[in-house]
Amino acid sequence: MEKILRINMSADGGPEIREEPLGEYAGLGGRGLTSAIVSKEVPPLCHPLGPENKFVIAPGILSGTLAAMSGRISVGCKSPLTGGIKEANAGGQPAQVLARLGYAAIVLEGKPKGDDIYKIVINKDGVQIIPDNSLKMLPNYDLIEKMKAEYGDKIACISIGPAGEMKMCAASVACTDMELRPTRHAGRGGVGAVMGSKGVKVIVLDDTGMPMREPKDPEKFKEANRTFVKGLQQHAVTGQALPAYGTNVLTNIINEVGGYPTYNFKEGQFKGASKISGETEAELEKQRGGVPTHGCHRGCVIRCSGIYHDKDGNYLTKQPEYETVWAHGGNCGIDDMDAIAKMDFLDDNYGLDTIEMGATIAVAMEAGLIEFGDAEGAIRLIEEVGKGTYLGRILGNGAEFTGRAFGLERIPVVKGQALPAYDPRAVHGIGVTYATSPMGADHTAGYAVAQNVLKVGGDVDPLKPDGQIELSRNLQIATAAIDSTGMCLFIAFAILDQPETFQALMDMLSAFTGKEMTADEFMELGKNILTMERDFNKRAGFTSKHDRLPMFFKTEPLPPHNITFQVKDEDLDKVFNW
Amino acid sequence: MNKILIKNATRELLTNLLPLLQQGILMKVTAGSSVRDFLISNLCLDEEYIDRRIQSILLNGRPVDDPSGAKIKDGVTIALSSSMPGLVGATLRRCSPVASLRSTLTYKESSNIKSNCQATVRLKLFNLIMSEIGPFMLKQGVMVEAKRIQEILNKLNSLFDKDRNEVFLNNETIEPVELLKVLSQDDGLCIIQIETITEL
Repeated sequence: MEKILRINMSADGGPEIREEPLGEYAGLGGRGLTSAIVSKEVPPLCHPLGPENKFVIAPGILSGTLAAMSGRISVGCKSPLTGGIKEANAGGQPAQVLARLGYAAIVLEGKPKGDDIYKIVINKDGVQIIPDNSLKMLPNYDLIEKMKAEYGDKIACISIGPAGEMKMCAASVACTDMELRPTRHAGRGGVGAVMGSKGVKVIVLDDTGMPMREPKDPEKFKEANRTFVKGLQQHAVTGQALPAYGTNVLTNIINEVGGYPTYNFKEGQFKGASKISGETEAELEKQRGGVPTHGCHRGCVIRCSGIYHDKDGNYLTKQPEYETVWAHGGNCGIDDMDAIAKMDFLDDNYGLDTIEMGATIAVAMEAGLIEFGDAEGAIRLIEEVGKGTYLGRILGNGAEFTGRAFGLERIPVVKGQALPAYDPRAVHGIGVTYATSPMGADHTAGYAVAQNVLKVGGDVDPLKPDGQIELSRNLQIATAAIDSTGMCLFIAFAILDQPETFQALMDMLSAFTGKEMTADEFMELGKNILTMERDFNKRAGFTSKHDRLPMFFKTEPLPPHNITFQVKDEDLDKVFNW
Repeated sequence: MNKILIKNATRELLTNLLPLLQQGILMKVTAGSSVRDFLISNLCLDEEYIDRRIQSILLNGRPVDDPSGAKIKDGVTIALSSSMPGLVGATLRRCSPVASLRSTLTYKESSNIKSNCQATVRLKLFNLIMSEIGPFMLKQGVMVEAKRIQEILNKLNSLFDKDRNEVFLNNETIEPVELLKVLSQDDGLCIIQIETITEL
């Protein structure tokens, strides 16, 4: 990973390929690298779909090595959904393969002059960019089958579906999994639309003949990785709950505490929750010959993913995750697991963010377009998006756009991005992160639960009601740092309870780079990333007014506990005081 | 109240009945006892399991940090979960380092609790707790709404039939299909007990 691949799509005579050394970006990876490039090179006031925006793909610092869980890839740009900086990340195979091919990042620049659509092929022999209009408007699954027929089954792909080509703000970037299916998505913020604006349909990666990335201190690295894996496997969340039930294990408990947004954030509990819980989903998968325990990339030891079969025992989609099951399920009043799985497949196939689409459909339901609970109607709406009908083009641009189109006041978005599956009125701390993250409402922005290990900002008494601002700050910092390593955020649970597992991660980073990494340096990395991102947003016109939840969270009590969001605005403004 | 006994149940049948526990079963307990006492006395759990495995205890949907201090009242719902992923999952753990993020939700004990009278509690078991404790509770017999049993048994087809299972209603044998009819007309509670072919 010593070089950056830049492709200028505006160049005279067709796209121009050049490779550069890392230069000032040396030592960065994942979100750290995408945000550094976007922050430094993209004019903050540019149109997100214009030639001045850049589309950056970066594997993490540890991707392509033997480190377990290091398969996350970051996608960055100015977001067409939020108008601010965006990093969305995904699992799947591309991070490992791209890193082994030696690239720290791919940067797509400019905008093609014509309407040709391109594929980029990268292997040990080099890089090719080829116009291929036969790929136009292909859904992701058909596209990947075509690539497999052409380039074999050793490849990994990064692609967009029709939603990305139509430059919709809910469009995702798909990454293929171990079975070469386009199931892992950098979903949030409309990153697929920016890839579409660059005229690139798919990036085909083949690392055949390329070596594994070697650490500076192989023995120390191997030992640290062993300790790290042991820590993950012995922990109740990463070693048992997630493998057994997947992320959807959260449905029952979030519903029980009344924090499960239902009927477009009107209520905090859904009567049909047990029908779509992780426990129910895993049992259904077993009965139908699916797989409830499955990794999304090689080297994953948590294996929170799975494979979902239909009633006849045929593959339907990957195991829908908690956020997807909530977005298309409880939030829309739908308790039919098969219908939710079908919507998950359609989202993946058209290349759509499942959170944004679920939230959008709930908004459409509130607007009276269809009834809450109408599963067939919800499926039909996603199909409208895939076909690009006039209605589909409204829906495909997300919850805020749809809410405006239908004259709604209750639109659950921050910075234009739909809120995920935890109601901030029940758990105020997540509301602080939703409101203040530079990414817009994002549940993963403050995910890296490591407060008791990192101790940044001092100890916070867990049973006192204050400290939410400090916690959100520290969680956002730690998350930004983990997002740069290529590590899956789920490692955070083992880190929470097991200091030796956290130390193993530090040791792996140190052994790989040959430079000691301390907890303080790790947090400094996270701070630097957030500072760059906040600075970009400020230059793009964002102010403290954008760091707020929609008003209805402050005025509408959420049943059953009937609580409103009570964190003061002046406190929200302190999150990034450092 | 009707009492159902299913003998010769396969492990598969038992697994299919576990969702009864995620939706909740009813138990008669002593009001005013602590949640910890309830777990020890009524569920027969040992201290180590309670402290290590049950990471989230919810009383009427509110996270309990001190199960010894939280008291049981008539009509409450208690939910038990192992440790959960996600930031919010982590906040819900007992005495979590990030518990302040859910401070408005946290269970706070009120002083107005009648002691030593009988209380009915709804108990919900989630995830690993459901799969670990659930089978033993079904073996002992659990009290649930008859309609919910009917709904689940109805979907089981070949797993629940006369060739496989011996079924008793109030100590009298009954055909599975007849039992489903009885349950469909029962708007009250009933007790269901499962005896498996093999030891759990």
